[in-house]
Amino acid sequence: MFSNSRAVLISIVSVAAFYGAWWGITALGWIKPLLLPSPFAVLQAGMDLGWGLFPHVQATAFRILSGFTIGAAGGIMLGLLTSYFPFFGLALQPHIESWRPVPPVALVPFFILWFGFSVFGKLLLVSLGCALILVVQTQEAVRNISPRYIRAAHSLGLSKVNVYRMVVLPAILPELRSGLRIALALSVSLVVVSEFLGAQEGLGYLITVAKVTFSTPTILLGIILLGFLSFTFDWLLQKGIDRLTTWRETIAESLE
Amino acid sequence: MPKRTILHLEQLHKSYSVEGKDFPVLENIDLTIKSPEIVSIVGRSGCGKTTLLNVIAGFLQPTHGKVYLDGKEVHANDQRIPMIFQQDTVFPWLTVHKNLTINPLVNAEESHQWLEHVELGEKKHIHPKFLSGGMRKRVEMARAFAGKPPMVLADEPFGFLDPVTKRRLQGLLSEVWAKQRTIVLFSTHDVEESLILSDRVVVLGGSPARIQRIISIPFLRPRPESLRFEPEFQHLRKEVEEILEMK
Ligand SMILES: Nc1ncnc2c1ncn2[C@@H]1O[C@H](COP(=O)(O)OP(=O)(O)OP(=O)(O)O)[C@@H](O)[C@H]1O
Ligand SMILES: [Mg+2]
Repeated sequence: MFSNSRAVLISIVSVAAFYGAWWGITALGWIKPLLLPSPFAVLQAGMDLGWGLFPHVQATAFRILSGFTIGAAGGIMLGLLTSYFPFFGLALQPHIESWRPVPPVALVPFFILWFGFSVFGKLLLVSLGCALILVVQTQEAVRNISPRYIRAAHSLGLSKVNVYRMVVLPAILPELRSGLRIALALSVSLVVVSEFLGAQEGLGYLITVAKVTFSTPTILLGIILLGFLSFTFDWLLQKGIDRLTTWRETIAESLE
Repeated sequence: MPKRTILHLEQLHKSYSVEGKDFPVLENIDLTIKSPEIVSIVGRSGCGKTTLLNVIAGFLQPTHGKVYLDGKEVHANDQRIPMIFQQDTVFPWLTVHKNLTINPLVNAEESHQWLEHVELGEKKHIHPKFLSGGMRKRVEMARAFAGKPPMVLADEPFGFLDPVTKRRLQGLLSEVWAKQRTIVLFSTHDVEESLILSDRVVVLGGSPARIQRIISIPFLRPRPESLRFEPEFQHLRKEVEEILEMK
């Protein structure tokens, strides 16, 4: 396979090619700057805002991180509880199933009605979206655990709580990886939507204000920063999970 | 061994229900085993060995009949009887050492000793993905015997191993057993394995499976490798194989 430095090089070249192409298209004047400003105009917009950008980035980053963490942890917890207490699971399942297909964005008007433009409402929306993804993912992952591990744990005299703590939880972690990444991506969009609709700061707010003044470079700046934020969080999330699951035999290892 | 453990199987029957139909697998299984005794269950593939061990372990409810351990009935999942499984069940997310100490009755010291017994002292702190299949079986063996269990069950424990590793682990099993002298009840389709390891061989056969014969093995312990070539050993081997080939 590719060495680490080779892999990084490939990513850098690919990103550079993208921005190069973007710059090329704008430099050739094929598209009006109002519709697609050049990368340098975006950079300029960023420099004009300077430190003024910081509170926006900070607010959005905080909302994504806290909403995601609360929602993901709550969702995993709830998923485990539904299998630990089958009665609770049966009682909760119809609610989960009926809420799951509803896009959380559809709830925004109600959230604004109930909670105004408060941070609390935003966090609740994001957490709810993440939790719904992770409850189901956790339930599926628990179903997929090989029964022989559970039997082995029982035969060694583990109590039910310890079976969940020391066998079920670590066993489902690799499978939760995809669910966590999807939930993280959803948190980014939910935060932005909630900021579009009402906020005093944040990248979504920055984009809305820029839209009013037709400041396309600032809009693009906001989008790029959002992309950068979610890329960073996703990278950290992957590293974190990989760290917790070094015990796995991965395909990359066996192909090497 | 201060106290003798007694396992008693009384008129065990087990049927599976397959697509609504009853499918009997085990019938009229009566057996009493006292520690220190190693008993093997021999039978063809699919005859019900795993099913029987799972019933004894309490993983499956018998259709009729009862399992008693020291006079107490074994109910589903409430009795702690360690089992070495047919497939690999070493927990991959725990180090070798923690695979033993996950048992609430096993402390660090005991884990260390058992890992030494199965010659895995050096591999104590690594994850199972770095171990070979034979090493993982040894982890399972140590894990099953640690914590002074009343008995140890093993379901074709060496089924997937090459002949050399298999013999080595058979030797190791009798050594490990000699330190603990608990009841060991294991299944195998390898007649030689059953003769070299056990005090009694229970031959299962028929459909649904019943106990065809229980054969006492007279050889003294420790049993040398050369025993395999003795005429008496070969004779017993033929006897068991003939019962297996009936029906
Ligand atoms: N969960 C199940 N449901 C229905 N039938 C089953 C189930 N498990 C096993 N059986 C059937 O019961 C019979 C005995 O199976 P079992 O696994 O106990 O055999 P075995 O002696 O352990 O075989 P092997 O040596 O191949 O491991 C087989 O005919 C099998 O098809
Ligand atoms: Mg079997």
